[in-house]
Amino acid sequence: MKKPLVGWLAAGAVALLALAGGLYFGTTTQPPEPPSQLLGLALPDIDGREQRLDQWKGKVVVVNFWATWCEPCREEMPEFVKAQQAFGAKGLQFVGIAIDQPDKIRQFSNELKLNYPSLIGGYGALELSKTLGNKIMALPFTVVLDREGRVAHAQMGPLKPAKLDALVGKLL
Amino acid sequence: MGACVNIAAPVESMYHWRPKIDTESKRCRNRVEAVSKLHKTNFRKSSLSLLHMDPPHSLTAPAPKPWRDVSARRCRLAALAAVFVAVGAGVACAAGGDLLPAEQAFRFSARALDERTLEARFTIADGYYLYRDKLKFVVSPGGATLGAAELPAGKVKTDEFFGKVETYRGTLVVKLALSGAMAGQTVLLAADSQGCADIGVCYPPTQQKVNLPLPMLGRPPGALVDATPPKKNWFQ
Repeated sequence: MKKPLVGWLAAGAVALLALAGGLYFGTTTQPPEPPSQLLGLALPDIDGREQRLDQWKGKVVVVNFWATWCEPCREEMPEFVKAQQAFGAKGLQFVGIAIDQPDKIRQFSNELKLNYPSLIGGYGALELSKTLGNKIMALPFTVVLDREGRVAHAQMGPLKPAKLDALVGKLL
Repeated sequence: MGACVNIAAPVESMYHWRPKIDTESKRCRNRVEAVSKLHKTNFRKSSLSLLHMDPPHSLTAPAPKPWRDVSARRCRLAALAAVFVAVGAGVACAAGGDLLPAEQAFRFSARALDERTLEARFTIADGYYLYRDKLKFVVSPGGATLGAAELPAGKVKTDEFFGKVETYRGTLVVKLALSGAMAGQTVLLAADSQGCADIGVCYPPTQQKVNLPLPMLGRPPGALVDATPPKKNWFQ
């Protein structure tokens, strides 16, 4: 009678460890590529001027890959405008990378009164996002870099305002 | 989110990599494999039957008393661990969602009905949709051309930026009039599409292609050709 009990206890212990492991690996974002890869990027803005991302090094940089053909992207962007307004002075910098045609980017940026730069990224920018964890190359995809330029968070899909506040609040 | 797929797969397959368990009890390995298979279709039922020591009949067939001997006990341990790892990863993935690559979310296939008619088909996974105005079909080689696609009406929704847009879900079948091609010839049909998932992500415009042999005159329509044949392994 004793042996089966010990067996079940051992099974329970192993199971709990395994459960913890499953949860850990399921929720933990794999450490993405070194930040220098993203900060080393230089893309044209909607006025055709080349912008290097490393100009914002030292700030908390939120890089948002988006497109006008992506409705969820457009829906979350007003929140980014608000956050840029609220935390810009504290060192928060949003940077949009649009996988789209320049005229559409310009039109939407004006409509939304974007208060942060939107750079024009081609398919190459989408490929780059793949190396940062965007395996299926879908949008929106957002990467948060800390002041040292390290990737603090990478997210596929909309970044809810509460989560954005929590993430940025820790880093500013 | 997408990473969940890659995390869950090795977890479910780890017993294949552990020679100790492999050699220790073949029955055990068989059971764990069976659990993995059951997990996909009927995970809840399979885990419950394991916990209640009531394995499916097909699994007990090779061993008269599989749950009584030492190897069976080890098996029970391993099976429980497998179940909990799967549950843990499953919970985590459910929290983050699990997305298909575009070519699997919007599976394109086509067939040639005769030398003048092609039938294009999108099989759209549950929870995903395609935009009607982003669909485009092109045929090659050069001599062959397509008439205007007969696209069925989609579900209308109003987009703040683009105005009225139509979307498709489920299965979409489109007839395409082909000209300039001969019976027996093979044509390449390319389909451009763009769609999104309800979870709140969109895929960039994607092109999928199929080679379609046109049937000889008087012969029955050609078979349906998949642009991306469905993969059957656990690592996808």
